[in-house]
Amino acid sequence: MASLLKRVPELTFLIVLTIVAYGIMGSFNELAGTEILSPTGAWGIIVGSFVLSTIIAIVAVVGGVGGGVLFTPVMLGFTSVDTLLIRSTGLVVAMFSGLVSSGPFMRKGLADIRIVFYCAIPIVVGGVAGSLTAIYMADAMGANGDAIVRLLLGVILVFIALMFILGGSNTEYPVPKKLDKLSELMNLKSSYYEESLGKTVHYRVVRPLLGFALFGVVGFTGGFFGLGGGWAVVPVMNLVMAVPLKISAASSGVLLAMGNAAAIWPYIVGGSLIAVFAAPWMIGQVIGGILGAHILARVKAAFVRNILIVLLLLTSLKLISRGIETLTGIDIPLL
Amino acid sequence: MNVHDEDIHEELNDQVEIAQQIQEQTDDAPVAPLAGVVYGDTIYWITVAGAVITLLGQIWSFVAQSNYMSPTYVLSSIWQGKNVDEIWSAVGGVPNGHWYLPHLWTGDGLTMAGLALGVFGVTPAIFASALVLYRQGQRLFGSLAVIAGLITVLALTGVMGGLIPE
Repeated sequence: MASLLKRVPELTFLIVLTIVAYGIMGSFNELAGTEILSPTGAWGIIVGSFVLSTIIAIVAVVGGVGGGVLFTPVMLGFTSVDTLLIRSTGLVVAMFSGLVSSGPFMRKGLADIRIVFYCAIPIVVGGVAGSLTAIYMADAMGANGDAIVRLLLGVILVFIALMFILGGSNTEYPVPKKLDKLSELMNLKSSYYEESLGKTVHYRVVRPLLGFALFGVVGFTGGFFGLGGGWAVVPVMNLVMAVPLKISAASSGVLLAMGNAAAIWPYIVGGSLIAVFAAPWMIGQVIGGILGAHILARVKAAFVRNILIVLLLLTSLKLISRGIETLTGIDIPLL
Repeated sequence: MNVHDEDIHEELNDQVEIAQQIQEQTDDAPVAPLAGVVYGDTIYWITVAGAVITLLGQIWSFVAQSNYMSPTYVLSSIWQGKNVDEIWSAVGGVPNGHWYLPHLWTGDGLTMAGLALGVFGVTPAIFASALVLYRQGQRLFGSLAVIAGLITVLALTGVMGGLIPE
């Protein structure tokens, strides 16, 4: 950690600035309280959100899944915060660790910019379409729309967890069985230095057309639920397009940040992203994102992936039960 | 040899060919592609700048009592489960467009500007990277980058918000 802070002075600067900023905000807090929230309580929410966001960012970057996968379902499942606000802030959580980790990933050659641009079009278009649909649904369907969103997200999370389980640990360095004509034509091959093995790994992308179509679906779902799309980028790149696991995880972070940067503008322009609520999540993602990017180069993602599977399954249970509760009026005693 | 055996034979040949192609590549530690480095560094530094502005905005929010909407009111409303319309009703309704630009001297306005700057960083990064790809003769990927960049420009100008049905 100490050597990382020396090597990355801007990270040190950000950490020190954040500590000083939150110290000043706590010591010279001039806010007026409300009936349910004191000025100190407001400060506590900001600092708590920042700490949680930093932890989520580290896990998300190492796992290549995007923080929105953790933030959005947990907030939807365990708080009464409006779904539109959760989804807009979820995009902030999903994208900023990816944005800031793009620098270290690209410098180390861990993320492949050509793969990223190829997959970006369907992700970006799908992401914007998804967020527009989400805003429309929130206006048109009210509480029932909320319940349907929670229920659908719960089912999707089970599906995601299953993909991680079935994907298994044998996908780190996939060798394609067959080259199709399009992949030969595109010549998407590259190599990177694998620090954990101490050698260079070569790879070649296959099934680009199927990958393109799947990324459209991923983008829409990510924009709609505020998940950010990272939950499925790694499986599609790794299992469908035969990209090595580590390149998939890094490129996924870069790609989802790009897609979410387009998806989040309708929320910003429409006033659905509230600055005071989203800001500590953004700061945590930036600091955690830089830390995570440097950690990823050294560790295997399998451990983080197992944690994610457990979290995803637990959260999906809660989301499904809350969705059914609202739609049917039946009380389900869970957590 | 029946049809099934021929299929297996063909697949094995394909696998050998792919393995040979991969082996033919050099085993030197590869240099990171310039287009990627340009993209990553542009975003990285703009995001860091955005984070710094956001932090300054947060301090301003808490210390100077200069806000477009009171942070405690906003946080209370959010935790009470109020929706976007209800929250913004305190200042006359949900704003349209980049509301924070005329309110940069307020704490929450500056905070929002920092967030928006961080998001905006993607757009110049994509176009800078596209330029490098074109210069390297990789027109397909350069063109894909330009399309992605144009979509983000459309999104940030609010044009896509107009697609939401009333």
